[in-house]
Amino acid sequence: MSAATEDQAPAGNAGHDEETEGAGAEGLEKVTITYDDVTPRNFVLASIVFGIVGMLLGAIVALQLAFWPANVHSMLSFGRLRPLHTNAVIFAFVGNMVFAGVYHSTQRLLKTRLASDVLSKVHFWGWQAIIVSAVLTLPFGISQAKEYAELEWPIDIAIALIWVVFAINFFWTLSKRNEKHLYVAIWFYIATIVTVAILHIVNSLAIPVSALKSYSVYGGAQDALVQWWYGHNAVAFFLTTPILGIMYYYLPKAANRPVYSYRLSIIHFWALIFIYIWAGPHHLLYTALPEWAQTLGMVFSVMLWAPSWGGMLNGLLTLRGGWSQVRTDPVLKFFAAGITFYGMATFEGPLLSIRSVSGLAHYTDWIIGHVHSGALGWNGFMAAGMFYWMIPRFYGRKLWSVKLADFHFWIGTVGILLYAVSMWVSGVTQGMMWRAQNADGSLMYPTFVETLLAIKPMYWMRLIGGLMYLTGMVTMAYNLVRTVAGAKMVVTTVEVVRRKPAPEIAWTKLVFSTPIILTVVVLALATAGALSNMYAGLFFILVAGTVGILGVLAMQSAKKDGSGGHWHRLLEGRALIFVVFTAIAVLAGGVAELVPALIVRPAEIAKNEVTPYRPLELEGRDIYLREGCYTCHSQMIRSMQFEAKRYGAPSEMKDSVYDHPFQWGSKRTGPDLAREGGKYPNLWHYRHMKDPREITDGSNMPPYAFLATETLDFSKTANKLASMRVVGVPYTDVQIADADKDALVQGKVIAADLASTGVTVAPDAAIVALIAYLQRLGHEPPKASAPPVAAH
Amino acid sequence: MLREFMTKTPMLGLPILTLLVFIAIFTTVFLRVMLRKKTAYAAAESLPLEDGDEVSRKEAP
Repeated sequence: MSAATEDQAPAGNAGHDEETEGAGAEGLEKVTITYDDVTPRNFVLASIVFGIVGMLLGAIVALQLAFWPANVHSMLSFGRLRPLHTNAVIFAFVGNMVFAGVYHSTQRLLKTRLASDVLSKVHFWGWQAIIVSAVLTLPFGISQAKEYAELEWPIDIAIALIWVVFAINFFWTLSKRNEKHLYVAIWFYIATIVTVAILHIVNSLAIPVSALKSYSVYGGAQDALVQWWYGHNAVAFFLTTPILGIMYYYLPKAANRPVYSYRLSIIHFWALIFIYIWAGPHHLLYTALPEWAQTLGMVFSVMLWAPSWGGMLNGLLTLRGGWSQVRTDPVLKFFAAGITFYGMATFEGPLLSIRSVSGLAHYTDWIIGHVHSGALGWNGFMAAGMFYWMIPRFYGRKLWSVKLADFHFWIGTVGILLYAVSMWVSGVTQGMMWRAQNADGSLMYPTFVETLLAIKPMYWMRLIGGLMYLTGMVTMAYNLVRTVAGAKMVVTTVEVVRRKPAPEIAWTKLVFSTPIILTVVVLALATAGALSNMYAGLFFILVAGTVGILGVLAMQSAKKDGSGGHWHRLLEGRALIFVVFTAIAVLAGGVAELVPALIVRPAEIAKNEVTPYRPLELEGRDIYLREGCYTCHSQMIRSMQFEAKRYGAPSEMKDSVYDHPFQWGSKRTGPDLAREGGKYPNLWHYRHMKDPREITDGSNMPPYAFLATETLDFSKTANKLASMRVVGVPYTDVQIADADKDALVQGKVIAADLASTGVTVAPDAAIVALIAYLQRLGHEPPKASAPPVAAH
Repeated sequence: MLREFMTKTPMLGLPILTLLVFIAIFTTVFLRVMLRKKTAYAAAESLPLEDGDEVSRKEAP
């Protein structure tokens, strides 16, 4: 847009955006652009608001763990609020921050305005509506009970649709760019958009039972593998890759110097996206997941050290020679600390993935500390740095108070350290106490609550750390509000030089280029080597190595002669091919890891040794999912001696084959429940639900007395069984047709048993269903009394 | 030896093949990228610092 026409331009989200002036000499032409900064500004505001809300929820659930009376209402109990906390921080705080950074930096890097103002608005308001829908469902117990993927199926569909809107807006902007070269930040954004779409769709596949209830199509170990493939890669591709893109843009910008090594960024990118996708099974070490999948997860997690630290070093070394700026500039201060926390978290992650370390740390608070050093240190501080950089520029003002920003930095840093250290101490204490044995081989701390009492002080310390961090966030919000008070947004119009488009390079030239052909040849030789006997195999592998090295040297030599092209540079100019290559790199790991495990049919795992849940047990299981019991209890006894001594025989794959979704859990604030069935009488469970302290002094479990008066509607139970049959649970037509009657029959048996001990409760009470479920865990009913199972 | 190993653990075929693909591509890209001069990337790495010339800067209505 020329200066003459610019005055008539509407502000911010103006429809008209750029104008081209006549072509200049040497293939250059000038383009005037008015950037859309309203969209990124809106996302920043949403991120700050939801960040404070999400972290406040975090403080509340931390308080509930330290002080159980803070579970003031069933809708505000730990099990229901914890998913709201994680969803708010991940998808509302970080999600909005990511969209702000992507939209703001992409326009500058591609030298063009966002493709569509309408899509930008749909994206913004659609995402906020999804967040609001989470607030309106999770506290009501409407949840799929899969960690970080709790939202029910209609919201899942909405997420997919809004993500498509984001993708269209982004790739459309890419297609109308005025800068041919795709800067490294854009690659990370592409990887994020492509991979999150794949992860979300695959993990969310479910069969709806009603408008707000569904069952995952995967069950047991298969669901565990898919869920943690998703869960870990949500960390990778939602909380890491987009922030790395943001780092690669805003850090050089704030430091006013280019990134330390562009070459390193290329290697960093490809290695990171390829390796990350495999790492999920490290969440399932020592479980019933097949050994090969566990080993793959561990090996690739350890390999992740290299690219992660490559990225961290590339970030920190960008500040070389400019560290004096870090002392005075709050933006750089947050970035430097954020990247350092990234380094710490990505050192700790692979460490925790090593089997023996996982054996100690898994299910403990160490994992919570690890997650929070990443979320608060890496995500939170990078977000703060970006906000302090953006907001003053949006309004053409200086930051209101650098001192307040410094205060935010220091209180946040100390808060994270208190949080992480308390969780390390707590986690190691739990891990050591769970495994401690006397000389005679008996458990030193046989009562689970002993470990809980030992770590109580750490829970208070964690709360203090979290509150300090939250104070920093509120301080930032206040500082930014004062910065923009009374000001209006500034609309910036710039003139950039556009290089005339170079002649298009055919996609065949890239796909069938020397590096790809060379790779295929080397691979073919290596495969031949692997399939041959020892001597021939060695020969082929040596030839493969020689051909590879000579090929690379030949390519270098060709380049020096001017006869070769810079392949990766060409690739960076072809967005579509780049996207395809990125998708292949990501899918390779996903397909290779998931397909072998998913092709096994549930019946093959069950081997006719597992009976599906009876209708009442299934209803009880739904209560278990609704109340978020998986946030504190695992259902997976690991193949370790001390676990078997405490909980019973290690879990097998067949135990949970009909569990849609699986409930192996990831944290033990309470004991494992995989073999809970038959351990205690019904009365024990009844009293424990009504008042956990009456049974276990010192327990921090919320009371579930309301379950005794809540009655269930069995008329919908048949629908649930029918849906379960669709996903592979072998219920017969008779079982489905008689589901309501059978539920009542089993309820009456339990109610009668409770009545014999002086407790009056209705057979259709929620607590009866939950007891039926808990009594069934790890406790296969005698074949004679089990309902008939259809041949499968 | 490998054939015997693979017969016992057929599930590992696909992951191992993928790992080989990765190692081959990674090595190629690594050598290709690192053997190029740093100056070859000067234009690309300076992209975030190119803001263009500011034509106007005005308050939104």
